[in-house]
Amino acid sequence: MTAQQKTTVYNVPSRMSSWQKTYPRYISVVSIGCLLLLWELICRAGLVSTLFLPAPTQILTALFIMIADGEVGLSLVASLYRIFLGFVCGSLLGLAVGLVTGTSALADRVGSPLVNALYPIPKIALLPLFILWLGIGELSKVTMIAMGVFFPVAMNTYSGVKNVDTLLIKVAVSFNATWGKIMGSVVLPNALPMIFAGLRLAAGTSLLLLVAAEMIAAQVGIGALILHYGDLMITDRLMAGVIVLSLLGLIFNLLLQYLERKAVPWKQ
Amino acid sequence: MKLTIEAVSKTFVNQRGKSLSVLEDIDLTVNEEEFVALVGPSGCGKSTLLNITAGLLEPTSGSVRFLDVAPGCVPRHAIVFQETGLFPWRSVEDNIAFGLECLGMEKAEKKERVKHFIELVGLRGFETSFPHQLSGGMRQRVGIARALAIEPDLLLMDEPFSALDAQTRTIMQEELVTLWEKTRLSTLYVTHNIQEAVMLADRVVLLSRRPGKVSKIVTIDIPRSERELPCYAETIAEFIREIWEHIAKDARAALLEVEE
Ligand SMILES: Nc1ncnc2c1ncn2[C@@H]1O[C@H](COP(=O)(O)OP(=O)(O)OP(=O)(O)O)[C@@H](O)[C@H]1O
Ligand SMILES: [Mg+2]
Repeated sequence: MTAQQKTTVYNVPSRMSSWQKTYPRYISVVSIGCLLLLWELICRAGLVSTLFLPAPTQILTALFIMIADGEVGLSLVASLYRIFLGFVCGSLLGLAVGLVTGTSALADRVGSPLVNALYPIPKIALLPLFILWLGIGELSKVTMIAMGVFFPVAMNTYSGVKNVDTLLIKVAVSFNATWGKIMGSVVLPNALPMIFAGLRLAAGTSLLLLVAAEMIAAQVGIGALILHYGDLMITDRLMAGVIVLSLLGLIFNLLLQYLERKAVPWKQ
Repeated sequence: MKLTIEAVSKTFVNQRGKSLSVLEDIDLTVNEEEFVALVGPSGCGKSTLLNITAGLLEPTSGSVRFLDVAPGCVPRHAIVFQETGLFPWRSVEDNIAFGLECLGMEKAEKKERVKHFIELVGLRGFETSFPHQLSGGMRQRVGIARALAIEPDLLLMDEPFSALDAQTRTIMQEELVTLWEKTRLSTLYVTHNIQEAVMLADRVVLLSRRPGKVSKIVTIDIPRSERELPCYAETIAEFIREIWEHIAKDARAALLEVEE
């Protein structure tokens, strides 16, 4: 070895940074803005027919006109009524069935095969049957939405109840907790995160079923409105309806997220 | 009031029908205001015995009972579990209040009691924290406060400090001594740490390796609060050596069994 060998400096690179990188929130807004701008330019340049793809400004104008003459409001009220009623009934029933089948061994044996057999049926296929049974009115549509909401909520509640830590049950039993106390203070809180995951799944399903039902059998409603303007080939109004739907879904999700943060404060 | 465990045996039968004898013919008494430590190698059935004592597990044979019970009084157990068992969805104060809720205590009294025990275990300022926001030692203290809050007739503790680091553990041991002197609850304390058993207990009960049997009972006749003093260091060391020699053979055999 020579006494003075040449050496260099090696800086240890920060190797996790590409996995932990974060970007500010406005990036999303800017990117969506760019996309809309591109869309607008393509339409203005006349590259596609506005019948097939109306420009964003055109859609927005159509939306404002429809809001102003009360058309959107009317449809929205009808749709909200159906989805709200269907969602509340379906999720309450799903919650009850999930809790009972999850805790009682007998109910599990009786109910679970039934739930598992009915779950994969596309609920929209049942609409003609429901119309036959319940008439063409609101009840058949609400029932179908409730069915669509029921299954994800019931199944998620069931697994949330099933995976409760036996140690926590043991703790509760060691303090002589009653059955009701164990259900309310241990089993239900333990299942809450799963229940909310089920509710969010159900929110998507309910919107889907709402539009499908309104397209098949309704005079008013967002689904009926979209179908109506589709038949007339008035695409800007059709797209305005789609935007209302997308906003509806977004608000629905935000509402559930807000409720979840309130109900599950121990998971930041 | 005192607790007696009479001729308790426990055999587990697994799904394939193979049976495993875990406890054999255990006789044990915990007298009023006595601190009994249960020491034994890993897997000898300490947790099983504790669960049986608390009525959370059925013994295959034998019985557990309280003697000299005042008429009309239902003895209460409280357990501090090996894995804390705090409710993740309850804040510190609500965790401590759980046992009181089960007793149907009214609101004002409950609040008062919870406050007292939060102060006793030194958790003031953390009342509304959730368990995941606490350190391991703090969590264990919540578990202890929750057990003490119902003012039990018998306190059962299953290696409450086993998940803690050595320093915290020593501090918690000292705290437990002070706490215990304040409450003087009849206590059955499970540990595999001999030094801990000698520092805390009036009597140390040694369990042999599977099937667990009581193989020796050592009475530690030094006042608890003076065991830290240098003048007793030698006597303490002698107790530890005596117990260690008694169970070393068992412990080595247990290790070999695991390695097989
Ligand atoms: N539910 C069960 N079913 C079958 N075997 C069990 C069950 N619970 C415990 N055992 C067996 O009983 C033996 C004693 O278990 P236990 O948990 O009482 O040991 P322990 O003395 O508390 O050990 P450690 O010091 O490691 O906590 C173990 O061999 C274990 O495999
Ligand atoms: Mg154990």
